[in-house]
Amino acid sequence: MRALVLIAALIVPVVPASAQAARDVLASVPVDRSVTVYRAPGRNGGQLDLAQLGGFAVITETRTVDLPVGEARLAFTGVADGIVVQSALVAGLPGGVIEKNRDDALLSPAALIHAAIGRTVQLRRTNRRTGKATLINARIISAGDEGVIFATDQGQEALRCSGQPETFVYGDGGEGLFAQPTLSVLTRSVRPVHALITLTYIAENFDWNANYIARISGDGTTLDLTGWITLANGNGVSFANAQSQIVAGGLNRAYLQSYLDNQPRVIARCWPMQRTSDIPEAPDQPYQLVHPWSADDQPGRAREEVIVTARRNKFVPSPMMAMAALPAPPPPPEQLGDLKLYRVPERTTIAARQMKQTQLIDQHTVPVETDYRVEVQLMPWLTASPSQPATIMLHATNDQAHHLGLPLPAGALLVEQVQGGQIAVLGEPALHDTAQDEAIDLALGPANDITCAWVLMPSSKGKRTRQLVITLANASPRAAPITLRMHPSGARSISHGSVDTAMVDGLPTAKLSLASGDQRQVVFDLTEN
Amino acid sequence: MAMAANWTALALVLVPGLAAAAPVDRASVQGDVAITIYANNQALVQDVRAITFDGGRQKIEFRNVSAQIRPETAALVASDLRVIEQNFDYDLLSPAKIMENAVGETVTLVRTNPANGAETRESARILAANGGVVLQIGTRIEVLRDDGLPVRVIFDRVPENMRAEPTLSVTVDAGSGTRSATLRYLTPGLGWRADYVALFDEVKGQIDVQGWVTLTNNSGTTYKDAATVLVAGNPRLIGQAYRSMANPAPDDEATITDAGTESGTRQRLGDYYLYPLAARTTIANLQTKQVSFLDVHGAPATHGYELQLGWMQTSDQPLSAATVYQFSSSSKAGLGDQLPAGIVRFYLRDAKGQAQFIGEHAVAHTPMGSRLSIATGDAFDVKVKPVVESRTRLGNGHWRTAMRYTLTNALPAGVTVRLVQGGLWGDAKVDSESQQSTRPDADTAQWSVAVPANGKSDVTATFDSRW
Repeated sequence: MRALVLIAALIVPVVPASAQAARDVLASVPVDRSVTVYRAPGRNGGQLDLAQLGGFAVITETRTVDLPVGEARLAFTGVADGIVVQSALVAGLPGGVIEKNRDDALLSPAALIHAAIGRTVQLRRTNRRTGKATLINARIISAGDEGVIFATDQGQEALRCSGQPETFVYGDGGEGLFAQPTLSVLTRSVRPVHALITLTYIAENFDWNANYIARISGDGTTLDLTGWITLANGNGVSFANAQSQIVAGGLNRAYLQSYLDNQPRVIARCWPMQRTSDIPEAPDQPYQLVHPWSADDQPGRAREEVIVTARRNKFVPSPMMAMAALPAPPPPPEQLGDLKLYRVPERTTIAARQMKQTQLIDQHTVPVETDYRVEVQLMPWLTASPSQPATIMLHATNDQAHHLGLPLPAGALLVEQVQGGQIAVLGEPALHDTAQDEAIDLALGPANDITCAWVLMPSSKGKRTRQLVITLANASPRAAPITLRMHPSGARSISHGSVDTAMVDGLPTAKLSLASGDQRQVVFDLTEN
Repeated sequence: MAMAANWTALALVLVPGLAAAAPVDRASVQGDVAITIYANNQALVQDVRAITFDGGRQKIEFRNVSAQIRPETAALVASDLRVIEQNFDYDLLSPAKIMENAVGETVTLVRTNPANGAETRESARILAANGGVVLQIGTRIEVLRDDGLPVRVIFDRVPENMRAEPTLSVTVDAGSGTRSATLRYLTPGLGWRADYVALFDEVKGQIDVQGWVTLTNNSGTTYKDAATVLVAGNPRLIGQAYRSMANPAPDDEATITDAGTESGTRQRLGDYYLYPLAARTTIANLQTKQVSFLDVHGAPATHGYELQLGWMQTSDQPLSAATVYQFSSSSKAGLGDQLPAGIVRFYLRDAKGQAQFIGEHAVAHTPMGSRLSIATGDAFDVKVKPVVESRTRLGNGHWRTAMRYTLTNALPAGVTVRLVQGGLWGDAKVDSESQQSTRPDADTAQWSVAVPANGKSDVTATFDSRW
């Protein structure tokens, strides 16, 4: 117990910030952890940006506590640094939660000197030649980002302006300052208890994405679809042996965060220090402040500063972790309200600043159809369009008949085909969140051998009508199924075609097939009404 | 700990021996502090301090007030005391300033011999501090530290009007003796909002809501054992837009569908509700503090779907409907409380019984008795595909637009979707439709569409419009 309090004293302030009789207690490290990772809101597909993960996670930790009788301030360490403090919930405390606190006043060199303003500390000067240190008493008069002034019994001086090594030594001053941002709750207990509590909170700087690989068979009629979940943790905390879940679907987030950002800044700066050997760079700037810390100041250095303030960690993306032996693809997701919850089948460790992958789906021989889509954009100001390539389209339906029929979370879909023993990538379209029975239409890219040009010609049917002549050509070695979609903008309509049309998505659409090496003209009436 | 105590004792003994350069500081300790915090990052601080008056005119400096104090709002009140003037000094002491102020004065130089550490002292007069410091020592003129050798400059005094930090001082005419004086001021940097945790139970159609007030202290000062009251309201303050850092106003999306008409039993201040904290508490600098104020179990709630279209247009892809949760803040079949502005976070239990987060939304100050409708995100399985089937010009500035909405549901249970078509501009009429619409306002028409389990429903409508 005594040891525990000692440990607590290292993390929570040396002396409690409040004069209340609350005892400081430290919760154990998590004995169990559950991490649920959510995609960045608004990113429907696309890629993860490791440097700036826009998603988040909900973390549930089980910890043990030993509470004394009376009020106790229970502190939690090792929470994710991206914690959204307002979302933290503590359950299982027999005495309930009186208040929750999160302290961001950090112990730092700047905070120490700032806290010592007006108080007496020791000044240590060391002789460079002999190494002999002398200690004298000094009262700090001011300390800010313009410099530090202190008083000794000889008078007033500025810190580190003499060219001698000098620094302050503090007797205390860590009151109310913390080693790291600390979450604590105030609770009251009528008898000593050993309790198992859960801490739940939202943490930023996580993300996940689905990545699919669709390998098209040699004859182009089926594909094998494998899907991977890539999840990333940009926090500096590792979640060992955690139950992991991933939630698919778009969630609303509300960002009203106000940042606590008035950490004190103390910089040792001096009075004007230009030397006669310095040549002013410009007449307007006859001198610049130079910090005379060491005797070998370089004249080129305009201003040397010793900034003593807290510094945040930078994100260093770690290389992707190699997968261990693959487990079977996870079962279909669980319904969570209107979202989908995927459970990673085994407990896993989500290490700090790590990206890891787990299998999402593995579906074989999914029947697909390919065709070439031609969009005829009949802008009112155009009377002709040069030849344009068609777009290769891949169609399937997310149902049992297509060996699918499971929710497909949004992600990038890499379409590839084996050709001559080599894997060739045909395209990487984005797949949006696709529900069961939903149609999948993926645009793979332009087909330069299948082209379309159109022109408007005068018509004998009156001055409101033009003849639309569309020329389709197939230079590929195979017959090409073509879907021709016409966009008659404004109050115009398409009729009397040389091929049949149907209205699909509000657009006149014709389906035709073009043999290899064929060129074909199709004709419609375009009428202004 | 023992060492720390010794040091404090030593410091106490030594302080009187040091140069008495600090300004008179008679009221540096916070007294009985009471804080009223408003939702828009403003607070009223009342600090009752015990001050010893000399009698007659004197200047009192206040330390440990908010570092962001609005000095023009400060007021000092005590018996037998008349305020003559208030000053707020913000000329901050720095090495450059102390040197500039010492021009023409004499300072002591202590030179250290780099070879043997021997110190020599001499007096110098500062001639100028432009670019470098020019000194007169006896009859010669030198540039300070031009040779790079160690030289300490010791000043005899600190300029009078310079402060270590911005300082509020009050000149008073008061009778002698020790008595309590009340200092009152406004300060930004202290603010609060509410955070709600809503746990929805789909089977029972019920919601459990916990409410927490979240207050943050960014004011640069710790307030010890303060009696704290939170005010749900944003009093208008001059220059507030400039002063406030993050205005905790919710986004444009409204959450109140019917504003309530019930009066709460909570304490009021004018038109604002008050949320006093039960016990005195220490609000540390850079601290976020949460205290519970609401805990309601089993309030009825419903789960629905909504899709709002701002314009008549075709979407290539089906659009996910929004998931909405509806409940009431009424005392009958509701939360039975008014809700201060903040964020509502929704949770649902998964198959293993663990609460999982499903989305959040900001809410505005909500009176008691209101109906709330809160969107938490996009439904994965409920989608709507709008298609413009045809556009026909009937005449000059007279059009007919035929719309088809295909609603799909991949859930194993039927759902009802509120489909809202906007962009009607008040002059468009619904000519014909496959099911009856209602017009909540001139710009929109809405349908309540039942979509069967694992099925689809089509709604068609023809609009007669001016464009």
